[in-house]
Amino acid sequence: MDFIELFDACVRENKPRLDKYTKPKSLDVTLKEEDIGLDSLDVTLTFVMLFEIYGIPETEDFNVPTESLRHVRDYMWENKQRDFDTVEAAMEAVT
Amino acid sequence: MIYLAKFYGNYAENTTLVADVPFPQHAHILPETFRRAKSGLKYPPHTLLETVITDEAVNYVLDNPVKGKTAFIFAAGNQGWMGNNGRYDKDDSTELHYKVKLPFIVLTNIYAGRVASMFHVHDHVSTDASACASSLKVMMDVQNLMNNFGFDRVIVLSGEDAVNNLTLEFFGEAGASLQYKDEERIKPSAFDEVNQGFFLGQGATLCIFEKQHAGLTKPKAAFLGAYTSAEDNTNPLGQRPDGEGYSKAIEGSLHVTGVRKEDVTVVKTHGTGTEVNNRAEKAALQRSLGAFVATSYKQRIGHTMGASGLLETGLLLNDLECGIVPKILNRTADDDVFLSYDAPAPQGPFLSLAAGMGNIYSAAIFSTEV
Repeated sequence: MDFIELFDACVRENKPRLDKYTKPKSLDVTLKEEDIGLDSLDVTLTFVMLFEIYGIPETEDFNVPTESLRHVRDYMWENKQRDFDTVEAAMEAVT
Repeated sequence: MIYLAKFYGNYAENTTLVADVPFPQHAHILPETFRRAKSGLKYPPHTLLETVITDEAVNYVLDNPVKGKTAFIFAAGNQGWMGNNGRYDKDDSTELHYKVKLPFIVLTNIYAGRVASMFHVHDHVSTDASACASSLKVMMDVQNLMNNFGFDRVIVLSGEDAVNNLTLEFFGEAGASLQYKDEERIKPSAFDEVNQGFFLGQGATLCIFEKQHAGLTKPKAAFLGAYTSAEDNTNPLGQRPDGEGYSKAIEGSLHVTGVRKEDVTVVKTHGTGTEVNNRAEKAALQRSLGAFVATSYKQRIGHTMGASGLLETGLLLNDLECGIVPKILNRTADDDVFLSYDAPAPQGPFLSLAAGMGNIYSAAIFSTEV
């Protein structure tokens, strides 16, 4: 499952307006508002959805490294309790 | 002059039986707003509100800047937002149960700030919790900001903390919402000898109020003024039978607008159909106005609580555009004042009423002559 596509799907679920959002082109993008167009609340909501998808306990919420999207992906993959083959399947699994 | 430039509303006409709560009852539910709510990832009231925050509305505001200041007001109904709080909602197996993963996002002021930023509002952001009067109560704030503080545009978003186990049990226990066990012999209506309240309903509205500017074309109505009152009552959940609170609100709105009582021809009532509201609202209208016809929308869309005042006002505007004042559904008596039939829309200003628990009564006067 492509992490950028999954991240993008989660952003689209949680950000009411996407006019300032730029879909990441690589895992090297930072999560700063000026780079990606997400404010801190957007980022938090996106992380919470990723946690749900990967089955990561909520106690880990505020330990995600945010230097880059690659750091986020690595953290999720290191802590995941489950995974999905496709973005569609992952999004479908969140009730 | 203040105009209602844009009106967006969402509500459910159909009802769903909610059987797995202590007071089983029908409610006007929008099932899609409960998507991803059981996991706590999505919050039904926000999902509903975001259906009225349309791209068209946002783009209209961003593409048509006004000279003066812009405000954003979130009329939130009740501040007890969060479906899983209190004593009512501990059974998470029930149909409407939902939880909140990030409690801070449901704080109404944080949500207001989030939505205000979509409209690039940076002059004034506020919230209101005047219960079921909330969206009409804030019309007093709209009037004040625009007449006294240099605001040329006020965006009002209104909603409520969904229809959840808490609200169903609360209104069921209070005897205000019509329960399933009583439906065979009675339907939701108002101003009859025997009514038994309403069905609850999910609803939201976004209204944009403006002074005249180059981009303003075909406003939906003129907003003439509003007033909110309380009454001399020791019971914050009750209403005085003489309708003092309603009368004070009506007379306050007439005073502030300069409209004569005999010029008000149409009334959108609060019209819950509870015994106490039937008595209070009818007494006040008969005392404080001249000849008028009155309607109610709660029988069509349910009681949408915080959104109800402005949402129902917008629906009346839609009907007036079609030339009718719609009847109050399910009336059991013929009535040409509290309408038991559809009546032709008369000319002249119309009055919208709302009441909220906590001793709150709101009246706002609009005109379709723009």
